[in-house]
Amino acid sequence: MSHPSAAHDIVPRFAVGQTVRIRSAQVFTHIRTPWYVMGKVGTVERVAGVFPDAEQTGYGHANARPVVLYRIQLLMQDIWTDYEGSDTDTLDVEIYEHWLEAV
Amino acid sequence: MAFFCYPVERYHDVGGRIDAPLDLSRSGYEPWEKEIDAIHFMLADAKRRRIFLEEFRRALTLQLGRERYLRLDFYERWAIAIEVLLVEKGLISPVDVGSSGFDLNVLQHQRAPVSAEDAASKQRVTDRQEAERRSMLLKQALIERGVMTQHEIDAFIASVDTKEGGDGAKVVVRAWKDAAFKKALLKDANPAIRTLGIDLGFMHICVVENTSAIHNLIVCTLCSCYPRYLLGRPPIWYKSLAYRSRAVRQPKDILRELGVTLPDGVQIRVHDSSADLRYLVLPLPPPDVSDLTETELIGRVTCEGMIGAALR
Repeated sequence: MSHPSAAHDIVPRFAVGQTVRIRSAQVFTHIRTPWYVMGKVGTVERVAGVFPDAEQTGYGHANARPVVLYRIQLLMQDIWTDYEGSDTDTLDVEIYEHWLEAV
Repeated sequence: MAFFCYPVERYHDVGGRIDAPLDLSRSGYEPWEKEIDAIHFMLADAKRRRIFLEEFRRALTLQLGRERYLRLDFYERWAIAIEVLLVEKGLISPVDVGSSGFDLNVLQHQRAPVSAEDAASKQRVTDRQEAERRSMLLKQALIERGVMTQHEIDAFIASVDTKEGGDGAKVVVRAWKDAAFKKALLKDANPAIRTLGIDLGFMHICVVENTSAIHNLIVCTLCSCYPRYLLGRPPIWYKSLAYRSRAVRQPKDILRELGVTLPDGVQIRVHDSSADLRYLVLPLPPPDVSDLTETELIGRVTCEGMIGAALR
């Protein structure tokens, strides 16, 4: 896995453990942010690396911009108001940096 | 099929939306499904580089239209997505695959008054036949253009058929036996796995560990991403809309339907494989782990266990 600082001069904006909100947007093109976590608040579980932006590679861009990918951990009960499992159950989801904002 | 809520524009984005039981009745893929699977991975391989994963995901999710997306089965959607991409790239012509697709007998059936259930069942058969027919034409077009040969397709299928989760099981068993390997694996999986001589292709693996207090479950709500290079083809239900939808909303119910009952108090951690990582669950070792050899233990690990759908 490429470490963020290794191959690119990209410094991740968010740190492990930091609280972040996943942005909400109505989009008609190719993205990888699932609808059910949009607008939800979680914490950075790990900085997963730097990857070509899927929103560009999805359309065949050979030189897509590199973006930092994070794993964001959310509590299930923060996602679903009717969640029936344990209140400690979690969901981890991979989110690109431009979909995150500091809380 | 009941829907929790469903905006029209992102119909493939099914996390938490579809409340339907898991269908565990089908096992084993049909020959044409294995061929479409092989054609997809061969088109993307280092030798050909004709299509790229993210383009395929886009074609698979945005090109089909809501009604057809929800109606078609997994490889039926794959066949169309490959066709769309290859036409976009000028590698095949639309008529190579799309022509003379109308069976007049089927059309006449559809004109006769039928019950809604009959119509849906006839539609299912028509979809299936149409997907199989298009896949065959697609394959012929690729062979005629020299992109691949039938022999190469057969060899690819055979290599996947013999894999059956073997490489994943080797990783799991080594981690059970070797604490230093396990530590390295959980910290940064790719270099650790490569020390076992396993080819990971383009995959970036993230390993998550089951403990007596935590159970991990893997899903991809947007398509059906799966650690292919480690586990081969996924179980059929893994690709279903019901699993993709409910695993992130009703994981305990899904696990129960899969035959997994967790003790009270076990925390469930669901991982949505939404972008560039692929996941491997490290199951709990059997109680007699230290008495068994690595070869014996490999036989105890299943694909289901390595995605959290079974205890081991």
